[in-house]
Amino acid sequence: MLAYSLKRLLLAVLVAVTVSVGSFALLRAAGDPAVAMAGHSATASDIEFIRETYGFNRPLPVQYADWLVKALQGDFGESLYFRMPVSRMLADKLPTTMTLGGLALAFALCVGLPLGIIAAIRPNSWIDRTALLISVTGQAMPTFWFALVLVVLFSITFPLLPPSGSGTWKHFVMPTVVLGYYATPAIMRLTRAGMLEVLASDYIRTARAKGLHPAVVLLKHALRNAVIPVVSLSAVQFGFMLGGSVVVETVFALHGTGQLAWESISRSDLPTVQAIVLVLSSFYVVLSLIADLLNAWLDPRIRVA
Amino acid sequence: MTMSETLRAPAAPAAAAQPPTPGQILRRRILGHWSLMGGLAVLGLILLLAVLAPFVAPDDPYRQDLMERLVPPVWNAEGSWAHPLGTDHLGRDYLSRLLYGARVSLLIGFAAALGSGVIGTTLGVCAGYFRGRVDMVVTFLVTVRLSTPVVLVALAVVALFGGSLEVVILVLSALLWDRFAIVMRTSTIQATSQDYVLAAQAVGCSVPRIIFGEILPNVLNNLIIVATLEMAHAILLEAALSFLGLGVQPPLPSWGLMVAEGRSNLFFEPWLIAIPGVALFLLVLAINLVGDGVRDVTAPDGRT
Amino acid sequence: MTPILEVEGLCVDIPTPAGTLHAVRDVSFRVGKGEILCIVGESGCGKSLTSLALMDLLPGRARREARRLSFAGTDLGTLSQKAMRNLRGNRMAMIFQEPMTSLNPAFTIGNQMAEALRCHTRASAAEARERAAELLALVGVPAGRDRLNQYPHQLSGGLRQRVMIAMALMGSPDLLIADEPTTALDVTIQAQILHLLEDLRDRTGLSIVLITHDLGVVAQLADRVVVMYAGSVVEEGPVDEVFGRPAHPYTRGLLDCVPVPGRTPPGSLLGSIPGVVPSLIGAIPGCPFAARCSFAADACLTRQPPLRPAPLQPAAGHSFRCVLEGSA
Repeated sequence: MLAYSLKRLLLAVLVAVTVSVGSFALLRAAGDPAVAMAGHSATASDIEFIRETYGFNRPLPVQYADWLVKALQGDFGESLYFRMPVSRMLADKLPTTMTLGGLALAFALCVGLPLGIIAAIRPNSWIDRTALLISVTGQAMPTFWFALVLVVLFSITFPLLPPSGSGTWKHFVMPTVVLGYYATPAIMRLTRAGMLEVLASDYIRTARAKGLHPAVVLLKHALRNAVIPVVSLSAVQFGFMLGGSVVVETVFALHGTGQLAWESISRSDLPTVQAIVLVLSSFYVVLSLIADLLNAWLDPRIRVA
Repeated sequence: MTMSETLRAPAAPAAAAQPPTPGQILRRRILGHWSLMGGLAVLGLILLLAVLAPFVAPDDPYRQDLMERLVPPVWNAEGSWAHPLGTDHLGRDYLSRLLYGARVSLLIGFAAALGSGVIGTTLGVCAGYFRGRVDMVVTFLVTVRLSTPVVLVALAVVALFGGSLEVVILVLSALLWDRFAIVMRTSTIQATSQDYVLAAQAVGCSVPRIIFGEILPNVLNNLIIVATLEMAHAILLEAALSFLGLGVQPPLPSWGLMVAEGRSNLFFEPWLIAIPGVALFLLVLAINLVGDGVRDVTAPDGRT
Repeated sequence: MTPILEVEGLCVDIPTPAGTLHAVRDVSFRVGKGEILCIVGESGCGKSLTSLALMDLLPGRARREARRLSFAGTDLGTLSQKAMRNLRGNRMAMIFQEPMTSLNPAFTIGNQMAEALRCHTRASAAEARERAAELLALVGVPAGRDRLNQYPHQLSGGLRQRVMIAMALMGSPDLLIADEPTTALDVTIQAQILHLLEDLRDRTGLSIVLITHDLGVVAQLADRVVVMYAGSVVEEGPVDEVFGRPAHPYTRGLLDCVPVPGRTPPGSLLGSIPGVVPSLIGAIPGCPFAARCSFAADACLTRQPPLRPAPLQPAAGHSFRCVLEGSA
């Protein structure tokens, strides 16, 4: 387990470094950052001055190292548009996105797990078909459109929920449903497939042969084994949802990192975009690390090697 | 022996009926799979309408008529057959824009699935066939790819390089290859351990001959399944990018853009977002149904 | 001997797209107290489904029917699910072919053994562990007490099968059904496990139904033997009778396939049975073995003879299902 953890940790660090190089290179490839910072009315000497002050004239690897070291200390530079430290904006917006992601994951698990389990116990029953329908429509529905449909239904036709903004719990209801519905099909399908496989296994027959109550067979012996891959999928889905919250936050004007990302992208605010990409990628790297370690820990075959 | 020969026929009546050939079984499975047939029908219809858009569209999708703005669709009391699906906020015929929009969605879907498919399949097959270091590098690349937030990076790239069809296709191709790589890697590993591949290796077939002649034909069904998934994914992503104003640029008719444009009229003209939204939903649903159907009918023990 | 288990007219049907598969056809047998009964036959002859049907553990679509299914005087056919659960793992227990996959990988041996007792009795966790440790010692698992905290993957196949047996004994059953318990094991381990079963019978008076395709196992262990072919019993009786004076051509064919040390001359050819087992979908009009039988007559194609006493030793309870006069 220890050797495995160390190996996995090394991989995570490597991935994080590669992603950071990528996001640095991508935004540098777009053009001269000094020009972007100086704005439209700047003269050539203004641009040269900015280039000197911010060190854009140094070799790229040096600039990258400088940027990375500062980023690791939580210094992502200053936003070109908002004129304030990027880290402060992030600290301001991240909790909202985290809350949204967490709620959405909880929603997806609450819907996906039970439906997947029941669908596996009674394959081809009406519950199985309903679950299939939910998963098929969930995969085909554009998130932004689903969001607008909910707004039409619950803010316009029946004015129950606020269509946009953040602040109260009511503002989180529709974004949670939209983002959570997006993650539900994957969780449901994996639960169903896992349960079907486990229920057909020899040790379930052994458990029944012992005369255990069907509920014990199902909830102790089957679920424990079927749920292992779902745990790691959930962590990964959480990472995806942090990145995917751009659309949902923009539609509902929820003041999180997603909306901030969209605003800074449309305003070519490179330091902010870079910081968000880096932070969200790092989150994903950490989450998938946790997922894999959790997976290993839940499975005695890996834990007690 | 003759006795048992003569006796076998009556004893085993099942042998009297000719067993169906694999092709017949497959055809029967496809025809009996209603969701696959439904998906194929809808997809075929949309494809046909998109190709024939210049002939079937009632109007020029770009022609504005400010006198005829926001005409509701024909099922509405104020609607007319002049504009079966009404007009948008610039008085452009909505049905025509919808038909031309199908071209954008399908083109981007096909092209992005093809592009990412080529990248992912190459990586996956190499990793699965050569294993060892190649496998390690590919697995690492896949991990890196998975760690990049797709929507964010796509938005950023389109913002930096401009929102043209080519840029959107290239970005999506570069971002959606991971599932191809993962699935092709696993399928290739499974196929490579099969005896017919070992036999081909034993008689000294060249590596390209084994990969194209023995392995690819046997992982083709998985390739098709992933391709449909990624095509649907690409279409949804393009729509989302365009919806956020950072995809295909106006006045090109993209369904995502049409939803974005209709959003300001959400209160009084909900059909403006309903129509392109339903179109997107149907197209993606049809593609997914085809993918699921292919999986079912090619699986050794089909679900139906 | 008082029978602990009486089976009469047991049928197992499985609906398939091609028609109903009659996997077990009108099977009857009895198991006495402390007796080892072996059910023997080729793969697919319905012997495993017979054992699962006894435990009411048939897979989802399979249906069980029987004229009489009585365990220690209780009619299993009319028993509620709950009452059946109380018998299962308690008074009648079962072990399976695949020790590698028959234990849950997620829980410790101790946990899985303890629950087999605790779901039937009010035993405390400590008592259950104590009994588990005793039983592990009884079935010859070295350092049994330490094993309780181990996971299945830490044990070898032979040890896992011993754990399965110990687990089956947790409720002090009267009947143990063993479905090919040694097929997946090495030959030396096989012998150990078989010895263990025999030893358990001798010490505790356990009745055992042993499903196997290995005639050597039958000869070594069985008191009585039931030979199954294509879902039906073709011959049954005391093992010495059946093996010494096989009456059914199929039994004879089976015995010819196995070398017997001291009886088969070195260098002579072993027998084989030509042809394949008939499809079990739908009714088989005549004797299911007719197509492969070198003695088959026209009557064999239209009518399956009833089970009847073997002519030589009718009193020994040796019966067979063939129109021939038995004993070639």
